Amino acid sequence: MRSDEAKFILSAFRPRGEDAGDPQMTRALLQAGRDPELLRWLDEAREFDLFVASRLEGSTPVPAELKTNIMIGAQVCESARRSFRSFLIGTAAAVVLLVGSFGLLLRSLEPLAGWQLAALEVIPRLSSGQIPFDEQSNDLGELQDWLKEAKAPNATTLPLGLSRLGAVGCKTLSWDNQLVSIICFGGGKGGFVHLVIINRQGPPHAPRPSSPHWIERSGWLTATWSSGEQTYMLAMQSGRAALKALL
Amino acid sequence: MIKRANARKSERFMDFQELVDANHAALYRFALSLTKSEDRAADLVQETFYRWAAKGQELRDPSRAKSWLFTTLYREFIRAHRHESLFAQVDPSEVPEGITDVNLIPDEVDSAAVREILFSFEEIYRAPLVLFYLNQLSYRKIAETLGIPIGTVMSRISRGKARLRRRLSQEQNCCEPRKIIPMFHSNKPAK
Repeated sequence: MRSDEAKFILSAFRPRGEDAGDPQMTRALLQAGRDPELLRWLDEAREFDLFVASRLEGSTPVPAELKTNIMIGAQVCESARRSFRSFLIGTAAAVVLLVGSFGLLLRSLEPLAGWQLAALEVIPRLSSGQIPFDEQSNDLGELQDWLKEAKAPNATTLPLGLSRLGAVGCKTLSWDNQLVSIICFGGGKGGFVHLVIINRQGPPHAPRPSSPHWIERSGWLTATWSSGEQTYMLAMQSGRAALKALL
Repeated sequence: MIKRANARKSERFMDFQELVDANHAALYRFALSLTKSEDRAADLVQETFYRWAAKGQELRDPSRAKSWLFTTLYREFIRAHRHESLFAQVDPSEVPEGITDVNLIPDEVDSAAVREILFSFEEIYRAPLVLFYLNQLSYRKIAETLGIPIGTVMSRISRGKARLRRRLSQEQNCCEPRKIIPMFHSNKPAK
C-alpha cells in the first residue's frame, strides 16, 4: 500500500481508535507503522480530529426536554397504535359478524336438492290425504320391512328422538330414476315429522354432511345428513327447536 | 399471562429508554447539522425514535439499532426536503486535492466557530463529516446511512477535512494574523 493510499483510508479512521479492527484500516495502520512520515501525519490528523469532535460536541448542547419529549411522544404513539389496533380488531369482528349473518342469509337462499324438493312437494298431499301412503302402520318395523321388500331406500339408523314417535305410513316416489322413500311420523310437539331417505350412490350432488345441515324453505325446516349408505332429510313445519329435539 | 405481557412491555420500555439515552444527543447533533434549525432537528430526532418504537424493534440484530436510527433520520430529512437540491455543485477549485498535512491545532478557534464552519459546508461534505466527528458510526456505516459508496465517503471525509482545516486556518489568521503561520498545505503525492 502506498502512503497516499494509506492517508486516504486513514482520513476516515476515527480518532479514538474505534476502527482499528477494520481490515482496510488495519492494512493502512500497518503501513503507517513502517513509514515514520505517515505515522507523524496520522498522529497529527488524530489530534486535529479529536479537537474538532470535542468542539462540535461542546458547541451543540442538546435541548434538555428532548429526551422527555421522545419518551412521552413514544408512549402517546404506542397508545394511539393500540387504539387503532382495537379499532381494527373491532372492525374485523364486525366484518366477521356481517359475513356470518350474510352466510345465514345465503343459507336461507341455499337451494335444496331435486329429490328434497320432490319429497316436499309430495308430503303435504300425503298429510292432507290427497294421495295415499304406500303402506300405513303405526309400527315402524313394518314400514321398514315394506320398504326393504320394495327395494326402496331404508332407514338403517334412526335418531333417538325420532324412534320415540309413532309412525304413520310410508311412501316411495321416483325422482330422476332414483327411488326416494318417505316415512311419516306423528305425535311430536311440532305435529307431523317426515323422514325422507335416498341412497347415497344416487344423485351425485346430494349433500353428504355427517352432522345435520339446516335449510329453511317455503315454511319447511329441513335437516339433512348422511349416515352409512343413505342420505336423510328430516322435514317439519314447526320451529328448529322441535326438530332439533328429535336429532 | 398478563404478568408476562406486562414484563415484556416493561422490558421493551427499558430497552427503548436505553436506546434513547445512548443515541439522542448524537442524533440531534447530526439532525442539527442537516437542518440548521434546532426545532426541526428536535422534530427529526423525535420522529426517528417514534419510527423505531413502531417498527425498529422488529430488527433482529440489536447491534444495528444505531445505524438504523441514523439511516432513518437521514432518509426522513431527505423525504422532507426532497424539493431542495441535496447535491449542490461544488467548485473543484475550492477543494484542495490530495491529503493535507496538519501542523498545528488551532486552539484559539472556539467551539461555535468550528460548528459554524462545519455547518456552512454543502451537505455532501457536511453529512459525512458530522457523522465522522460524532464518532458514532464507522465509515462503512456512514456509507450505508447516506446511501453512497464507501469510496465516496472516504473521499468526502478527506476533502471535507481539508476544507475545514483551510477555513479554520483562515479564521485564526483573521483573528490573530501575525501569530499564526500557515497550518495546512497541500501534500500531493509525487507522481
